[in-house]
Amino acid sequence: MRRLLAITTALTLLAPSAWAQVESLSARPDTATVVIYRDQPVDTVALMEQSRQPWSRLDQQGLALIVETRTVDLPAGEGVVRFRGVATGIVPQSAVLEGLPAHVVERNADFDLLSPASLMEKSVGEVVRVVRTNPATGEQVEKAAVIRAGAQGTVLEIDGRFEALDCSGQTERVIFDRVPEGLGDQPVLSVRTRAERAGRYTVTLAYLATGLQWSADYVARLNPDGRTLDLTGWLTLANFGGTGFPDAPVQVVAGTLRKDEGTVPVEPVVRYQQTGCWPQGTTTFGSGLEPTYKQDRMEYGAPPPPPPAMAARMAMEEIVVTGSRIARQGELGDYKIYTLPEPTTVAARQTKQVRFLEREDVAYERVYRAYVPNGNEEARPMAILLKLKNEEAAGLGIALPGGSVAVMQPDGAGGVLLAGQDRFVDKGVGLPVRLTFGESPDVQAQTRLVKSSRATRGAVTTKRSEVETTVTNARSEPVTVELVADAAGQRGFRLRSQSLRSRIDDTGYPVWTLTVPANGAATLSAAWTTTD
Amino acid sequence: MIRALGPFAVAMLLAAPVFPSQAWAQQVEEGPGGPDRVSLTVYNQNIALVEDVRNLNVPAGRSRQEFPGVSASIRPETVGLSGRGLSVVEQNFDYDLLTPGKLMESAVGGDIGIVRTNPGSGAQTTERARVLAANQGVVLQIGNRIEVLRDDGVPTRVIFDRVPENLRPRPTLSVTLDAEGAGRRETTLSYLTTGLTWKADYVARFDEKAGRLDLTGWITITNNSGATFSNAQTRVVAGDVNLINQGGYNPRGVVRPGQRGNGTQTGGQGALADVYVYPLPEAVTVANNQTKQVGLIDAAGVPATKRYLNVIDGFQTFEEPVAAEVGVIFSNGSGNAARALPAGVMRVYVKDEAGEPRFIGEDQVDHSPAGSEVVITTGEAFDVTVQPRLVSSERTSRRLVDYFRTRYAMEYTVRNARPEPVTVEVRQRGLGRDTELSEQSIEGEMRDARTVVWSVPVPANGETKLTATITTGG
Repeated sequence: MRRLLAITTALTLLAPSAWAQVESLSARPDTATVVIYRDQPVDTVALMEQSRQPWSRLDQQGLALIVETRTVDLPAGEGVVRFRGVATGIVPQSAVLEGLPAHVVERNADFDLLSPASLMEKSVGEVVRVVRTNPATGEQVEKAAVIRAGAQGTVLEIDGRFEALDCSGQTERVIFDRVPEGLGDQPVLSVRTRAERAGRYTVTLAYLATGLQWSADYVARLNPDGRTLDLTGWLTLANFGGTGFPDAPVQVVAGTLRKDEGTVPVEPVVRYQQTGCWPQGTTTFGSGLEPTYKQDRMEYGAPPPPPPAMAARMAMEEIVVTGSRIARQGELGDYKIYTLPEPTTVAARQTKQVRFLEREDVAYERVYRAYVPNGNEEARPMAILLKLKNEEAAGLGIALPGGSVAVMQPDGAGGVLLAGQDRFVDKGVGLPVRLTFGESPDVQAQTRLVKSSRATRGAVTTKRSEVETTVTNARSEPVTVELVADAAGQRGFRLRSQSLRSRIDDTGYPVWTLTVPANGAATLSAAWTTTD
Repeated sequence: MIRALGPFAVAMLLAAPVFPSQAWAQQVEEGPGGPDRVSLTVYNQNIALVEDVRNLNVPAGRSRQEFPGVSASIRPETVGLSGRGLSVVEQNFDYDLLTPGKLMESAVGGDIGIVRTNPGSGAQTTERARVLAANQGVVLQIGNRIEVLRDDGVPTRVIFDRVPENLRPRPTLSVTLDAEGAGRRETTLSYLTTGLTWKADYVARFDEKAGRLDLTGWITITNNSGATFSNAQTRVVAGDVNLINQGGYNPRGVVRPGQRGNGTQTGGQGALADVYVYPLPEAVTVANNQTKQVGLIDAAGVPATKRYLNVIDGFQTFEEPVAAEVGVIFSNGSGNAARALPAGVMRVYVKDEAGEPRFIGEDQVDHSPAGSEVVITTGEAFDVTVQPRLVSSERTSRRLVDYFRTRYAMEYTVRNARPEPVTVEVRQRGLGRDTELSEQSIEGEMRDARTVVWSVPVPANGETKLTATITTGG
């Protein structure tokens, strides 16, 4: 026995790097800050819709920066510090660790998960114990065995002979002495350190993670004066990941950020045990009907199908609205950053809504808009447009992250009606905001081609169109309409005559603005040429 | 084999008196369990060169040697073996895996032991049986009786006397050698394997006011090869080597990300055969299903600037303003950043109002020789936009040959809602032949025959209207 010990010691000395390391574990963060980004516009409704689809991989979409503080016991000399309890969507290569007074030799993320199959697969060649229970006497027999083949049906070597596990119909189980190295219940981030002194330190671990998204939504309430509206903005935070962040300072960043395709979490490798016995058919039952698995090559690292149970749970379980306080806007580089008024709990599979904007008496203009075609057109309803200016004088002058707007208008009986919905992209201060929602059957435009002609000089053909557009208004108040020539983008477009002077508006096109009296009509006559 | 088990398992093995030595005698003949020394050369393109050194005891003449512990994703056609006085007769890569089903198939025609347990009394009866067939069910001949295995559902263990040599728990490489003289010798096995790849990951902390960034870079190796390489001398190679059978189409002249202006300096690392080689400072264990990161570069105070850029294709009016791209530009040509940067992803952080570093975006970096100007596009500016307007477009001549020649009058409204003045680079693309610029409110520059570039200064909280007439095409 003493000789055995000597051999063991000698072998230990042969591999010092693997055995001299001291491991230290940081089980969970002390605090965590969550910063949620957008790399594309997010539509709250579509997002919620998607979250109900069992196949959606919203846990792999979206992007957030998680900044954790952790207390770490740094071992002296060679050591390994493991970080458990990181967010499930962690992108390990993005991790930044600060505040550890040690040389970081390497960082590792291990994503082999402990499962019956991986336990068996990684224990090939190891000695285990097989326990068999006699069904009649209850007597248990324990034998030492070597695993000779793993995940695709286990073959054991017992007393120099070979048997398959779980093919005999007998009650059998295998006892392992230890978990093979590198298998864990979740992907684990670790650093290999080299430090002069041991000590306890507070470190900052920052990393990118997927599964978190945010969106902005607005409610615009039109006031009875017909000129102003009240605008409320809501931030929706959604955590599709499996990790909750209790009492975390939360920030969201408005502005489209560049995200690399490769910034996705590692898919943990879960191996699935395959039933691997010899054919089990008998003369009376199941002859040949049971599937037999004949797979020669073992698949390594193939992406596993999402576990159905988890996917089903992905549907949002909770919706929390916290409207009492308002998120504060700040600057971050060229983005806008909104800090939630107080630390909040972003639970796993939860959405949360926080108000970030509240403005009253925002000036708006309601107009009806249509394109004037190059030919005849029957009377058509015109598009309803709300025009706002993101300026202080107009009651705004604040960064407006892109999102959807629901426009509510008074119904005349003290209640409100939904007038329509539209979306807009990020609008900085000074930009016009145009909301289109629906068409009005009361305001219609009809175009008549009065005259069309064509002239050729050399290889240049000039086409001339003369049109007359009539707008009718069935409403009991005068309306403002905008007409734009369809041909304005064509080569050589030039206005030749117009009954009303056009001006270039903020869309960059020449626009005729008409006021149509209540229950009346107005007419525009114009002629233009294009060249070809 | 013994080494692969690790000292703990060995101690346990030796300490387990129940365990017969017979099984192990057979194992030891199969050769050592893994390499004595491994060196790894990992490329960017999901391929790695493994050099696996083993001290083998080779008998004189022909012998078959097995190499357990090679990567499961080995490309067997690339295997090379060298050693004193050794020549390779043939090599096999066996991936016929040992499973219970295979075991039974291989026992057809042979004898097995069966142990039945009486469910009533618990008594066990042992018999010898011959396997007649293993199709759908197992048909046995016991003495002169023909029976189906477990036809009555009674628990029946099957005991096999041996495992066929060709069935293995893992894919195994075996080589038939012809050796001059017997004895131990160092043998080097080299092969290519897939499932190993690497890239660089950078963190750039950008200080806009100071015009500097601090750059930290990591080599990220991902191992999905199915094998763990213990204590491997590892190096990574930056630069794409030509590979066949990799799938995908890789045309020449594709726009590479994040770089403008190729550097011309020699870049610090061993430049070998037109690629850069980065040896890791010490041996590492590259475990299966692991992402490993080792430090690559740490450079502080690299001069860097921010750039707003809008690229406009063709001549048309945009109804909505378009956000400018924000880019961080630096050169890896001076100071401690004067070295080639291998391809990877760069993540940019700036400090927020509370002084906390916050991520602002990431972009790919191509292999950049030292002295390159690297551009990292982090995202779109919230407050800086460009809105082009086609004021007019006219044909310039009546000749048919000039049918497509057009004079475009353009107006670009560049808006800035930031509290400081900015300069926006407006790039108009899609120019044709014989481009003439006139009536420009700001002098533009032809970046190439198809692109004109203006640098547009915009005051704080203001806008600049850039106008230009471009005559082109035909």
